[in-house]
Amino acid sequence: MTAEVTIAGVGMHRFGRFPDASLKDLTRVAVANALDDAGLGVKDIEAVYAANAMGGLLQGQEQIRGQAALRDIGLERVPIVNVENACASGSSALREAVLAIKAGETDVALAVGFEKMFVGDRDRSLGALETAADVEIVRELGIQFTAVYAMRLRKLLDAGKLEHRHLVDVTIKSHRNGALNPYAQFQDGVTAEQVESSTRIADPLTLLMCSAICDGAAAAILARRGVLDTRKDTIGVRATAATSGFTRISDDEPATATVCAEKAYERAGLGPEDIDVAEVHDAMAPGELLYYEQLGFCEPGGAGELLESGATEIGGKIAVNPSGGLCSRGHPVGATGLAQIAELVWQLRGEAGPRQAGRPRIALAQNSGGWLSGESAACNVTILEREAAWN
Amino acid sequence: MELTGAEILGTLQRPRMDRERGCLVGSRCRECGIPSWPGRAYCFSCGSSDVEEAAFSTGGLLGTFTTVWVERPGLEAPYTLGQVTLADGVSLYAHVRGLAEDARVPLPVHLVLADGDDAFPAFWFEPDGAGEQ
Repeated sequence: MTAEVTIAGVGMHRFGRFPDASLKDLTRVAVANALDDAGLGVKDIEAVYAANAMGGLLQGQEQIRGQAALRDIGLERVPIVNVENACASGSSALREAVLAIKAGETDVALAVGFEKMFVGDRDRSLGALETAADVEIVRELGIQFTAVYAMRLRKLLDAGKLEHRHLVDVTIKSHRNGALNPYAQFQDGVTAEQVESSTRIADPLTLLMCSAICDGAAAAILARRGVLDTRKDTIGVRATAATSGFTRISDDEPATATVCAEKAYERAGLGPEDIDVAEVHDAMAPGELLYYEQLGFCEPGGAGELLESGATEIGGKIAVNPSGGLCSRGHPVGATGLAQIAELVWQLRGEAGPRQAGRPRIALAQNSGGWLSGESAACNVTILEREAAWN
Repeated sequence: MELTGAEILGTLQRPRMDRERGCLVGSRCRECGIPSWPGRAYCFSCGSSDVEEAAFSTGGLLGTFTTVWVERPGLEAPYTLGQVTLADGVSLYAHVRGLAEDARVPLPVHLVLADGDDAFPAFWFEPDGAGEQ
């Protein structure tokens, strides 16, 4: 199957704490790296989908965030659409770019995500994060994403479907992979003792299990097949799927990510067994275990066993979060979905250096955002394919 | 007939609790029976706009919880949040008080309303039998 839409280039600004860098600076670096990767110039871009979640509350740039962020790099005149879908903003921008090309409107589109969460006042950053819910209902309740993930995990722990050590082990894996990623916010390995003894955040989660406040940007350039003379191995967008959150009547109903992944698998004509490498939305490292089940990588109750088997390590049958994931690579909210895409493109091209997960052909990204009635408010699943044979 | 918005109470005017009866109030679909708290204009399950105000039972099951150790403005840490499914089937997130250190879910809990209209949180849940042991 040859995909109509291909990824011509990807780029990032390292994730981390950059007090001297503005949103424009972060954006410029990610876009320039993506253009360089694609062998294109600024004026080759025909349309932009710009993802950011908190620039209104944290920088006061409530409106025209993309137009403002992209002026420094000379991106003007072309349509720029601003996309906000909480932590799923980046993949939502990617999907809009894919759809614009499929609709025949555009040949070359940029999807870029940028976020600056360090503003010198942790309460302001956390307050902005809390707006990724229906504020008319949860206002002042004090529900952070840490609490949401903690509650999801406790359900499985108390049901005997996960052990506490799995939470610790997957966190160690996350940091071990992040230590191999030059773009990662956290580049040091951690021990079980460090994970267990780090500050309690929301039981059973401790500080080292959780993604942190972070600055960063990531970009992908998408092109209609055949319009560019690219020097790179072609990476096709095999499928994208999007879902919004819903109110579950019982816990037996599938999660938002499951519904979304099933749609993506169906469109791609593939199943979870075909995925060679995945980036999943582990805003808290143990969240990766939830997504093993929700994306079909294991049977319900099998997440701990899958982790222990080593199959999700770099070099395993299905490497999960070789980048270090949200927990270690970092989670600058609006940029995350495109950082997942950048990592997977590098993996599919064999350019991931010490964290290269073998010779993958099919890659999956799952990016979820916001929170409604216990479920993610938005979810996108993207399936990418390396079309050239490995030699 | 064109709607003006005056046909039903707006979301800010819709009651969320009934102090006299000591219970939470929301909506229930007349078509499929699915309840919602807070009440909604349309049923999220079947899409019907034929919904009525409903008072919910005060007892339910705590399905999961977490104790949060990060202070937030107006909220001293630690505090405990939980997901409760009331006997009527309504699921909601709320503060939980009086849980034992080694509490495990599912756990029977009941609603407690705060005194006064301005109290925060306006209500919370406590385990059944707490304070009697």
